[in-house]
Amino acid sequence: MSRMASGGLLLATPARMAHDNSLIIISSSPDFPSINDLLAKPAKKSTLRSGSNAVQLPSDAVRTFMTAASVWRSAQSEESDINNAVDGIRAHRTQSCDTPVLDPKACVKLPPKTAPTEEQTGAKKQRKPRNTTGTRRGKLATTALPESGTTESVNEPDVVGAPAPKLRKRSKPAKDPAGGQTTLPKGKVTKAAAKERAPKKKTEVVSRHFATPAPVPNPPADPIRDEPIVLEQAMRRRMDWTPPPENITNHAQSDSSAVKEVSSTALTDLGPAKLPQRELFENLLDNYGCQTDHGQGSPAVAAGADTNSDILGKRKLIELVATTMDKSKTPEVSPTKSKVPKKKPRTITELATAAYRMPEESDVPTSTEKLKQDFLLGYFGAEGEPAGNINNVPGGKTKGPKKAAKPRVFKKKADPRKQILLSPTSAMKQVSGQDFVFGTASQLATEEDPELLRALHEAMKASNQPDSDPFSIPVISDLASRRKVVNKLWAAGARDDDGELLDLELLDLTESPVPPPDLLPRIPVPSQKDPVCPSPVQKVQIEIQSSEYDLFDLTGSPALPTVPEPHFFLTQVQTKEKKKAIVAESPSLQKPDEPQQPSPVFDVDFEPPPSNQEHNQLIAQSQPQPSVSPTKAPIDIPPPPKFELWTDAKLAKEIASYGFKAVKKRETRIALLQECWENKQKTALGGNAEQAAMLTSSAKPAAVLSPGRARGRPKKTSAAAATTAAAPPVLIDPVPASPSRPRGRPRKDPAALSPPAADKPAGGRPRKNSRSASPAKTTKTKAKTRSPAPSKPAAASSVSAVSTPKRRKVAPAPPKAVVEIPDSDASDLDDEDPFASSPLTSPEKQDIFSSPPHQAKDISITEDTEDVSIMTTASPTSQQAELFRYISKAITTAPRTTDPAEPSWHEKMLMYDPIILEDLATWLNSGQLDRVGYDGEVAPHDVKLWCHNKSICCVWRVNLHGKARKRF
Amino acid sequence: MNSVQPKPIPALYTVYILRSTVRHASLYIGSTPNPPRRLRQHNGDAQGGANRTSRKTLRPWEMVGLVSGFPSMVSALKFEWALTNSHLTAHIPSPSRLTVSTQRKANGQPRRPSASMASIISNLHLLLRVPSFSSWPLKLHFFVPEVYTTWQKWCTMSTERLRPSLPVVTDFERDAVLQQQQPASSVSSSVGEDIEMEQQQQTQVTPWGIHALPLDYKPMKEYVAKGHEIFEFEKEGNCVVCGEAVEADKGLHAICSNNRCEGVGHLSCWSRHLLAGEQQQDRDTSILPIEGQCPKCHGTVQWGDMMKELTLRLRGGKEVEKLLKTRRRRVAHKATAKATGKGRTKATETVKAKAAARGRKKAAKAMAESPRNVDGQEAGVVILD
Repeated sequence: MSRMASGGLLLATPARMAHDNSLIIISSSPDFPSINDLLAKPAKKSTLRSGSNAVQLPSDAVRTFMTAASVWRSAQSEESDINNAVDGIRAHRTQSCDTPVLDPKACVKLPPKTAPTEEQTGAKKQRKPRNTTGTRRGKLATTALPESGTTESVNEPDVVGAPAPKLRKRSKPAKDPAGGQTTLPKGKVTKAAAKERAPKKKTEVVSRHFATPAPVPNPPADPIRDEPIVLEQAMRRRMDWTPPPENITNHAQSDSSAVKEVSSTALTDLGPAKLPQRELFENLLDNYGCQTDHGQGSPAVAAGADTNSDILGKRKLIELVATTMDKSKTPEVSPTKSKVPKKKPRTITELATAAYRMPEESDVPTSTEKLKQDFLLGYFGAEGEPAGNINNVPGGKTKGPKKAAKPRVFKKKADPRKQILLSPTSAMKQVSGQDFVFGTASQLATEEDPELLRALHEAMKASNQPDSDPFSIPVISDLASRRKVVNKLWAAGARDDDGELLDLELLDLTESPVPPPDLLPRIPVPSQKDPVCPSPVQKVQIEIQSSEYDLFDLTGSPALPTVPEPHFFLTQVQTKEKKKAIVAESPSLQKPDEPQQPSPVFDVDFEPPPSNQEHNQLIAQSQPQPSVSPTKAPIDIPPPPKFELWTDAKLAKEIASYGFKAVKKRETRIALLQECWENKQKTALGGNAEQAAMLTSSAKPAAVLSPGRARGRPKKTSAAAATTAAAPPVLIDPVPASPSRPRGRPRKDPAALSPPAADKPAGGRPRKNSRSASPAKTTKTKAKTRSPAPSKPAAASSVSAVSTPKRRKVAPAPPKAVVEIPDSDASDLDDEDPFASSPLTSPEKQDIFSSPPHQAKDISITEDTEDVSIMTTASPTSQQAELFRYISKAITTAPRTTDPAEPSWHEKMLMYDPIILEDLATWLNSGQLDRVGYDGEVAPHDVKLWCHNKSICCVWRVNLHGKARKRF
Repeated sequence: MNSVQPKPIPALYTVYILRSTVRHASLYIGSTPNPPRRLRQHNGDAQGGANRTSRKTLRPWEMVGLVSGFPSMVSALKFEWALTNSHLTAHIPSPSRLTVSTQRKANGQPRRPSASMASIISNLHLLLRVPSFSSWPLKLHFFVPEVYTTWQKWCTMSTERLRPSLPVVTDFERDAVLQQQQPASSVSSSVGEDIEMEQQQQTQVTPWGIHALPLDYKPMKEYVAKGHEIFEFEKEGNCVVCGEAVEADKGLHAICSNNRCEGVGHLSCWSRHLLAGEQQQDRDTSILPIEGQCPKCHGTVQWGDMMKELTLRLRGGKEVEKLLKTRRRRVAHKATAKATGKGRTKATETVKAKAAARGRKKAAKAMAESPRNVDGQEAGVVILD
């Protein structure tokens, strides 16, 4: 009886499932609902109705009595079963024997049912096979009897009690008011309402994944069939279940839930166990009363042959019960359920993401409480109905603690998971970045890590790429020349012979010493080291210093939004050692993440957040103690020259780890990084003469970057690449991911989650960022999340925490500041880019999900800027006029034609012939302008302007339709 | 150019302003080498009317004014587009742009402001001034007094003036002409007077407006015949500008458009000479001359006319044959009357050159009678019709 009541409640609400055990939950949702119910129930209907109509009713009454007694026994046995599974199984067997005696059909059906039910109740091990059997049965869908048996089997343990509860519901209100009964009706009522609404909603919410539209029609059929076949007992049970036609899923869940309840009761919950006992007693009374009710209920059922009529009858009965029993709770539950679905306006994105959220939240079953919380969150967030049901089932106790506990658990677990959700663009990027390994299963199995394969592939590519050669960069000073003249491996080698690599290192050294002393208090320490020699370690230190300096500058200047960058920067700066230390510090975070991560890509994503936190912590620590950070920085930071050296293999790895971008993009990225490097070197060279000059140079790049985002980015990227190269690839990967994710997620949370779910999710994410930071900072971040957080000089860590809110608020300045930082922390930018959100673009683009990657955009922007600059240069009338003069001179001074059929350009113009711009430009560029004394080339567009200025009719070679002109 | 078969400058190519006679606010801008035919199309009397002019309630349409003299279809289309999209065209520098779009279409493109006669006239005035079109051998025609008054108003209002060499002619309906005896603007006085004289002389002749426009090369028949004669008989002599010998088959040589003058010169020499004579500050860097004095006869020559003849002689062998052959026939039948009729539309040249033209016609006739030209006669006739 207790099983029945609890099982019924559980069945109705998936929340209950969650409540009991995580494992149970998993089994419940996917396994049973669709297949078993669908297949088994339809067959039963025909047989059931025929049998149930007239003759069976009296027999049912008798059976019910019999069953009631059995129910008693079973309930007792179940109680004992809680302690001993074997006993429970035996009791079930006895029950099954009882039922078959009444009806041969029922007997046939029952034995299989009872067996699985016993198994379920008895032990978890048995449950699993039961599920499999149920699915098999549903798949077979051969005969109505076995199917019905399966369906009933789910109920059967219930059946023994179920007829009683139904009777109770109907009869109890009139006859016996008891607490146990009240609980049962409540559960039933909730089930009905939940089933009706919940399944639909479920389908809506998780439409594709969880929703089984087919099962929905079947469940209604099941109750009907159950009624006739199992006689009244089955009928009532089904009736309870039936009201929602889509019960199938519920049934499955309920089955699992019932099992779970038993287990749960056995394991921990004394309260529920007690309740079932009471219910049993009450049920006994009800069972007696039920006979009388049977007559009433059965005719009603007969009248309303269809499931709909059953549902209506049930509802009416339920209402009656509610009045007599403790109905205050039940009515409350039902309205809440109805209200919740109505209240929630569901968006397509929610529907699409709900499926992912659910598993993520639920997947982390550390403890029952956590599970419960997760479920509640998931249901509340995605589905309001089931959550309500859950609350009802466990009672008032579960609700309060669950909600309170939810935020905590969520924050811990949810962070990595939440990060998993990526914006479409970022997701696409990840997909594009994923490497596909083709081969036979055996090959793939024997193959080494995909990471290794990828690294190998990238390394090969990098070695083959002319651009990737670090040596080539220093040689070619001009970007344009460099682009035109693609450095090849051989050329790079020649340069190596020249020893340009040394030059590069020297440049880095020069850069490093200058910035630290001037800008940062910490700098002095590195500056001391700097003079010693240009060793990689020193270089690393220098970079760090420069980055810090930039950060400080940024912070100092309100216009520059340094908030996000400082974190990144710090993270980048952190060396392997630091990272390792960080890992050690936050093992808990990473550990949970690792198992969750389904794919390497995900792993990468997960890894970053902890690193960020760690970084933040480090930053927070370092900030109060300026001396500490510099000391760490030199060790951690890799020198830019090293980065170049590393570029071939490690750069590619880093890029892959960061951005998940396509190979093409990587190449472009590498090119950009190298260019940026060259720029840095140039600037450094300019300031090489004196340390002061160096300082200025280091400062200059940042300043330059700040005004011009496009130009600044490439530099940053280059710097980032350098830093990334220095850092070990594995460590680097988590770092980039972390910055991007925390930013993206917080955005999502505030945008989507925070408004509906209140502050909890938002708070949890900020916590991630701010974990390392002091609690006060965290509080600040929470408070400031929506207000534009001002970049405080001292609070680099705080800035990181606040960064996400700033972006949302559309604080363009902070992202700019990030851009400027690049020199020191190009890796930061890179990291952001792969994951999609660069600080600059993040405010605009990052809506709910992670921000899209900006590297491609950056490149385009740079190109655009260049074009614009060209245009601007050309625009001045003076220059134009001069150019026009040369063009006119070239045209008019050209010798006149000797062939009337082919006039010169000048003669064509004099004859008003339409001039083809491309041809004229080609002619001008083919030495005519040089002849006139103009050093340079002319674009067709310039020629067009000239023609317009000279009243010359000009046309493009191709018309607007892209076809060659056939007439003029 | 190279791949495309070059054509001579068309006899006529116009950009016209179409107005509904029913609703004067309904306007349309188009381009055509044959305004009468195009007008019939707009009015539904011929196939190929524009959809915008297909509404029956707005028909019939009338051409209230047009710009003629476009040296090519491309140039006419460019001008038409610029006039239609005066809010977009790059030919108008932004400081002087008159029409500005304030709305955007669904596709994001700026919406074209509704055009009024005043806006079209003002933009026409502007486009005739912009450097892109200022040197073209254009000619402005007005066929409705009301539109012409609008034009005049705008000319007085506008701070900038058209180049004085731009001819503006009016050809109103008979009644309208009587009402406005002196419509001529300062620019077009001479031309207008000639036209009026012609019209007065031929009161019985109804054609006016677009119907009086020459659709073929007939008005320059004498000019073409002169050029043909000169190079046929190798009378080119020396370049009138540089004095060097003109080699007929080796280069491009322009001929003075004045009937009695047979001045021949290199194309570049002519342009250099005419540009030098224009005495404008900007002209030192300009490529295209507009008009000038013939160094030989010191008569005024229009660069557009010279180029039309040159391109016709250079590339329009067929057209020349037709023109000359048809002339021979017509001359045989109608003689002098034809000449006067032609002269009406031809403005300055024809009247003075009639007598001389006759003599050349005979010469041309003789040339045309050469056996090689016999085959082309019929085709030429058809085209003329």
